[in-house]
Amino acid sequence: MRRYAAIVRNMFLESLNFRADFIFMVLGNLVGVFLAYYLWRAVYAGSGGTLHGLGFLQAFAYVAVSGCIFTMIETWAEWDLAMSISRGDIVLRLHLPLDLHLTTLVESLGIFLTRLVFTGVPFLLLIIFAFGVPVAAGINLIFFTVSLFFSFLISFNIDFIVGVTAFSFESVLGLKLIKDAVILFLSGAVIPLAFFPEALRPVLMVLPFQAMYYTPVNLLLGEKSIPESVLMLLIQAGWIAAFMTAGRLFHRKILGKLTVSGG
Amino acid sequence: MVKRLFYYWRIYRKLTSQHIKSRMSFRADFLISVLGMLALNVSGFLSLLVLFNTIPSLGGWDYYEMLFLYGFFGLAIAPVAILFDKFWSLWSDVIWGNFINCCFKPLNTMFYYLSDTVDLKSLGSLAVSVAVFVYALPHLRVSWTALKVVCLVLMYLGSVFSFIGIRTAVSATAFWMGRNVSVMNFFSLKVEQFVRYPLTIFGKPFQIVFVFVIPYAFVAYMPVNHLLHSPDVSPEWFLTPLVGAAVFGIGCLVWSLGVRRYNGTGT
Repeated sequence: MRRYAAIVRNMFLESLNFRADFIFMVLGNLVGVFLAYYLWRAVYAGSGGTLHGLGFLQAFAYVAVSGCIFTMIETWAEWDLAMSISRGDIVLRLHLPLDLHLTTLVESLGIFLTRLVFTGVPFLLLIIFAFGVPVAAGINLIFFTVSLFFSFLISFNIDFIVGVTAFSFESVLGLKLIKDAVILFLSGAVIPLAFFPEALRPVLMVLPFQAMYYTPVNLLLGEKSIPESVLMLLIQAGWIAAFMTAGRLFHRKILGKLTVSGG
Repeated sequence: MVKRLFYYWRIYRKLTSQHIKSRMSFRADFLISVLGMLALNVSGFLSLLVLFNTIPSLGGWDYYEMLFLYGFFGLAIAPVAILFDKFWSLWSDVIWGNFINCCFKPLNTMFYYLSDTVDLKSLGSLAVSVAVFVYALPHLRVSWTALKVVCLVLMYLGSVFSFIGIRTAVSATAFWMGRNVSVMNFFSLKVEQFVRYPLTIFGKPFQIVFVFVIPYAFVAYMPVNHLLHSPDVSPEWFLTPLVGAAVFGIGCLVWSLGVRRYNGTGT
């Protein structure tokens, strides 16, 4: 456990190391929030105040908070893993008495925590207070925090599966592009799920992607009762378990085929 | 002059064909990357589709006008995405000293630096942009004249060169700051998302910045707005090509200042 804690700490400090990177990431998020604000203001300009049962601030909250969550949970774990595989130094990591899945997980966790502290929380406060998004202050905030971690875990485990595919073929960037496009679109992070056609929505709710963005934002806005909220968290936990099992099985299976140049 | 151009073209063809051959040896990688870019652009198109399912217009632009703007933007950035992809690795070539190769050739540094890389996966984006553009075209309420077609082509070139200029200046920051991935991401992933929408929906400060400071407005909004919303060709239409030339010039200037500042790593 101590060994893994050290990795988390290192990644936390390392991601703080590039100050210019950090400033521009924060600026980028700020621009993203403004884009969402103006875009959705224009969308609501001709409406009578609500569209599909969502008011302007709610629709804005869905998109802006989702954007915020995306910057927190996108840790490029699949990319780092794939690079490590194609360079061959994955061997060094496999030699260590550490579990590859767990090591990658805690590395990502370190990055996630830095983002959470230095961009996630400030931006959430900005969205809530500067733009006046109506957030209920109660137990829903605890639900939200838990579900944010769950979103990270779902996202990481999907990334891990994508990264491990680099053991057998080298196109992780392409897969990452497909994965991000599909997830962001189908999870309601770009357009709130309420705007999707009636026939499509039940399908979207069955897919794992809504658990990554729709669930945490919904819990933050606190529109669901406590049993419903707990159910949503359980669904998230279910998806974590599913992706984690799949990733670990896949990883074990594919490791048997590993060849490294010059090993 | 003409001879010189042919010389450059011959070199470009040689370097590029080597790069394409090496990329093509990873067939699966190529296909999946193209699919990735397709997915990215199709999801952008589908977002508009879902949005316009609910609302009739956005900032006064109807569905087809919006798609036309989206397609035009895609076409305007395609040359940079496909031919100028090496900008993304400039920072590492500056840090590791590989850039010095470009300084020893009797060729334009920017030309030589860019000429051995072609981003084939962006052909996927180009395909979607062409499709969206062609799909929206017949639905526009524009009374076409030969002059308008000529102007559209001119404005398109202006847009392309504006974008090249902006990207060149942004990438050249690597000469001063080294690792500039975050700056590149800031512009390409965040700021450039504004450009595919009608400029007027954004707040005044943003509009001013996009017209006068970083002229993103000329990459898509200005030319498309002229074409769709002014009845006839007016002098304003020619602003886009002029801005394109100016911004391209500034971009090259920033680049050459950066190169002059660069002095290798001593290896």
